[in-house]
Amino acid sequence: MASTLNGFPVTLDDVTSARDRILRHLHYTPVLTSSTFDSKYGRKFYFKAENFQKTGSFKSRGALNAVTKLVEEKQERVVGVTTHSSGNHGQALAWAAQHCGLPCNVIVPRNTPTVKIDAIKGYGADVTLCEPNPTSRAETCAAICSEKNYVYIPSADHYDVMAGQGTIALEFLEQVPMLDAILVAASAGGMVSGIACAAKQLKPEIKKPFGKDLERCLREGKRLWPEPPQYVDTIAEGIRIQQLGKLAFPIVLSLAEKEVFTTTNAQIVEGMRFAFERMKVVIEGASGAVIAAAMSKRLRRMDGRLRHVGVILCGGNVDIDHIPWLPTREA
Amino acid sequence: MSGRLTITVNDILKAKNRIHSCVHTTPVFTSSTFDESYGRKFYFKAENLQKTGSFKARGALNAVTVLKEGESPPKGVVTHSSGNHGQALAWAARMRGLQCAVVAPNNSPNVKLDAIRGYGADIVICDPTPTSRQETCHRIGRERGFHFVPPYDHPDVIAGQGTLGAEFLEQIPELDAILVPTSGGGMVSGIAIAAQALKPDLKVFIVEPNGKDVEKCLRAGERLWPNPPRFLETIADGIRLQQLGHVTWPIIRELVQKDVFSVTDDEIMKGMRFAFERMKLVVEAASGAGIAAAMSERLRQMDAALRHVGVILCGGNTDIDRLPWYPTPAHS
Repeated sequence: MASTLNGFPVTLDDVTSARDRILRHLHYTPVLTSSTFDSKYGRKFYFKAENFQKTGSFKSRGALNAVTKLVEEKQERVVGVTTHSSGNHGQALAWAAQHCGLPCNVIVPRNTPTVKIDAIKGYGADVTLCEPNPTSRAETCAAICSEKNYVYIPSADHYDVMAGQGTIALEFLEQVPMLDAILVAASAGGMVSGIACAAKQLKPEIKKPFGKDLERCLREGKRLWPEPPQYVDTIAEGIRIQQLGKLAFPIVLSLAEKEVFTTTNAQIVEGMRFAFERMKVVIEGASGAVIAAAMSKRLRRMDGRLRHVGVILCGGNVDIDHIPWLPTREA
Repeated sequence: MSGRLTITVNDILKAKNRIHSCVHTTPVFTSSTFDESYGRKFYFKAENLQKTGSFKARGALNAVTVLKEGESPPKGVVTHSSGNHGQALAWAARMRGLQCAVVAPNNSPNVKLDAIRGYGADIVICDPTPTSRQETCHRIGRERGFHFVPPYDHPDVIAGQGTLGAEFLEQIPELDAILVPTSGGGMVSGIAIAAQALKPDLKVFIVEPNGKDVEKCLRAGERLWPNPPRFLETIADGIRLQQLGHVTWPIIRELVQKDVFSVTDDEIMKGMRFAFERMKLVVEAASGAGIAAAMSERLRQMDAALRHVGVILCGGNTDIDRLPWYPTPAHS
């Protein structure tokens, strides 16, 4: 049962400290605009290009903050870090660990594309394969933790990770102070939690609707998802997790809008195509989902006072040999 | 005696004043991975993010603005190009309230014609020969009172492209060299003029598809290309011209390095893939050529004193349903 928050579990101080810790090692990503998009969709849109971030997604922020802080606090007692992720968090953690001189082991479902596994290994991490379901991921990871005495750094349900992701909001509000709303793709909810905490403290009237199938949960104030945790069938593999994390849920419940934008695969492709064709940037499915939300009738019908809308382009790690609207190459 | 039109850095600065409120000051990207692999510091100027998706917006807008501000502005402008210059001119004309006609061969891809129409220009179809293009262009000019704006052989177009060089040097003053994909030579001429005034030691290099043979011509000091002008066989459709222009040739002969980077289709594709995969940028094949030059053995063997190397990502107008590393296009 979720309860409302008394304060912010991730404070503005946590986020500004995160920023001090990580900014030097990361990119202050640009904000892109498109006059075509604005004319067509009737508001001013601002696209925060985290696809250009180190490791190709915003995840390096949270990973680096968490690992750096761990090393600061525990020093020689940390022998390594581990996580389970086929995607962006796995790469981000591998990169962050390498950056801090720590060994890293990433648990990866056995059907993960080779290109993603290679990317993780490219940052010097070991990869352990598991079955392609959330339970096997969690169990295999726990085993590595006890065997190797590594610290588990989850992709979202961790306040230091959220604080890292919250630095996106600090930057975004510096770059575009007049933002009225931010659209955020959510999987387990690390980014939306971090952004919600930071943004609400900096600019309380800001709204964060976002794209994931959980409006019912938010309106009822309860985690209504089935157990065990499942994947949603979507081409946006970065946002496949059905449930928000347990730490993330109360934050999202308290601070994010109850209106949720849900997108179909066809809409995700449309969003991706817009980015490729008109904005000339490579984005992955999850980012296409947020652009689709920006294009949606639902947003069009919303309050006209939401004049300046931020859109987080969360990542660009799409396999360019498997772009969704193009026929797959034979190996 | 240089025998060339005197286009100076002042023309470029005037161009900048004319266009800067309408064009983007494009960002410069870097890649630590790339630097480590290729042994220098590289700076990628992202003109794929420019208005209309290529650097051509600069030259087109400068030329149109000069016409509009002249004593008897024409009703409109005309050109022959189904590619980036056609789009750029259509956009520039709309920005300045002039009409625009673009003469395009009857085998032009619809996606390109649609992009040009999207900016409000009128497409006039001609036969796919240089003669038909020119004749149709002149006819439209006479019939409609439109002024011809060529894609590169025009001082206002060259000065407009030169703003790219001035901008790049403001952003990265430590540049030692710039690699420039080249077709008619408008961009490399403009950049070379800017560089000569602002940083004379800077080396400007041409990047060409195999078969353009610019190096042979530069070393001989003569236009050695066969006539009539022809297109090269290359996946880089934006840089298919074999010959440099007649206005651009003397500028290039005087100011541009005689070492020319010549790249194959495979190398171009590898360069394009790097941009998509590692830099998350959509670039067209001509930009891939620039990246290929940066990756080349030839550059590796060059003077280590060229520590800071600029690469122009000239455009991003590639058909995303027909990316070159896919065997067949997307189903429509």
